[in-house]
Amino acid sequence: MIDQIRSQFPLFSTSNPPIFLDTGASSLTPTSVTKAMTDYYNDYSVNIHRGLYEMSQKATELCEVTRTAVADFINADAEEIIFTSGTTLGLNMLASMLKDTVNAGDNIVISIAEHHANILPWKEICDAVGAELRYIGLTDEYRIDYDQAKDLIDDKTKIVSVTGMSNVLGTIPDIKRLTSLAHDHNALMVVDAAQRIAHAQTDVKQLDCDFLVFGAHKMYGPTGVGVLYGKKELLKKMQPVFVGGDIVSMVTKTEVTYVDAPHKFETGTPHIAGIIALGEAVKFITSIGWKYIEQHEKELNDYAIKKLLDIEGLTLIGPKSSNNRGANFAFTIDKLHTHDIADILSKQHIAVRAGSHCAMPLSIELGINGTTRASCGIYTTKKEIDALCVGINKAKQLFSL
Amino acid sequence: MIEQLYKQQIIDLYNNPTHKSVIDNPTHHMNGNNPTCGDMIVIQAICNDQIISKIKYQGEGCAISQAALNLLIDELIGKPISVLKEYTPERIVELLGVPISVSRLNCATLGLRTCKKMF
Repeated sequence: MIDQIRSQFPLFSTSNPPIFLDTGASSLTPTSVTKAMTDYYNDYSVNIHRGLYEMSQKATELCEVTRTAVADFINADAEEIIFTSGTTLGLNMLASMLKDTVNAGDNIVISIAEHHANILPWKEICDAVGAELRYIGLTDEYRIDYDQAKDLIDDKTKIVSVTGMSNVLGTIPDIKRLTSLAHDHNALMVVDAAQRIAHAQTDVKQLDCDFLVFGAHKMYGPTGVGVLYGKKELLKKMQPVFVGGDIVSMVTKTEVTYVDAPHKFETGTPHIAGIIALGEAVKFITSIGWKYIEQHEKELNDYAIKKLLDIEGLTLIGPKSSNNRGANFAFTIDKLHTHDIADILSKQHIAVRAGSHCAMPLSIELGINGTTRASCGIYTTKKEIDALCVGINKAKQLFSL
Repeated sequence: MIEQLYKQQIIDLYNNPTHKSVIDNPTHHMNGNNPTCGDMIVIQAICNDQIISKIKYQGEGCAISQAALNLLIDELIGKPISVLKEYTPERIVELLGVPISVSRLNCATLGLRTCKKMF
């Protein structure tokens, strides 16, 4: 199976492919996805909606086919899927859409393990209206501290927004549990699913979250396109934050009526090729199936955790068990700086990422100056984990450690 | 290949930095940080009549940033502040004596940027 999967990624067929362990930043792109993009640009690269000719109708139809495919993928309805330009825009848009529901004295609850994209939009709202931004801490095992979450979420909480999978720790929180806590206090539950979406099956009805946000480029799709899911009864009551063409039902010099959701949130020409290609990415993931993906994640986790912990001086910044954990490994090495490790690995043709991974409050909380992160995808092999470990040992040797 | 990037001098300066300590009564001090990795340093100096007599620093950084700063301090001691104008990122790369990729240039010049802000 893994060979069949890797054969769909042209990078692996090159003469000297890199050991690619940076899927957490952006996944590689299979040929079916790039083909969908080039087909659009070569064969029918025209605008969607009111073009009353065949090419435009085809483009419009394929965007809507993707909307349905994405909805099925997360067990939502098509009218609950808003196309965005990515997770960051999705979260910012959502924060603006919810801004008026937060007042002075209220609070918004997030976790300390959030990416800046799921901190700053909420921080801006809190600062603007005089609300409090509360951070749920972690247990010794790097898991969300649910007891603390229970204390922090109260009747003044308007929004709870937590990652579906930490881009540093790899942890996959129990979203359903947090949703219950949020709903007990009539707060809205938001999930930043950027990392989670390609690592763990995501069913919005099961999670019962109110909103869920992700991008295409971490799920084998293109950059520049993403999804904001919202429960239809909520979207119905919300107003667009960006306005212009394509979302208007009627406009006069003094008045405007918008179309219904999701289209009222999608003003302007979208990334049509990207949306169509996102549909292919969904097809790619579902063709492999969650059973395989979850088994692969578990095997990689079990293997990599053991191999990495065998390296003297290495501290894994994340749980040492594969339970509820994506194959994403952040680590530090005594007396070695993350940038040096990543640079030396790069010289050995191993691609990893170094730094705080846009989660600086987490680094500060843990008292570490960033980590080196190896993040895996559907195509990652145990051999590549071996190569990583050899590379790390070489870096240690170079520094006489 | 790897040895080329991390020649022994750089590793030695990282493991045993020559100028990493504290000055009790500095005439100048400045914080510097590298936003790409979160490294933070504090540089202190004693400088009278425009002549730099002492520079020390505290903080964490990668081997490239630490080596570059130590090498730069070697050069600046005993010189007038105005000499800093001659120091460009290219000059720092020359001092390190190894090729520095674009993504590491921020590391290599952390000390230089901080010194320029300080004086």
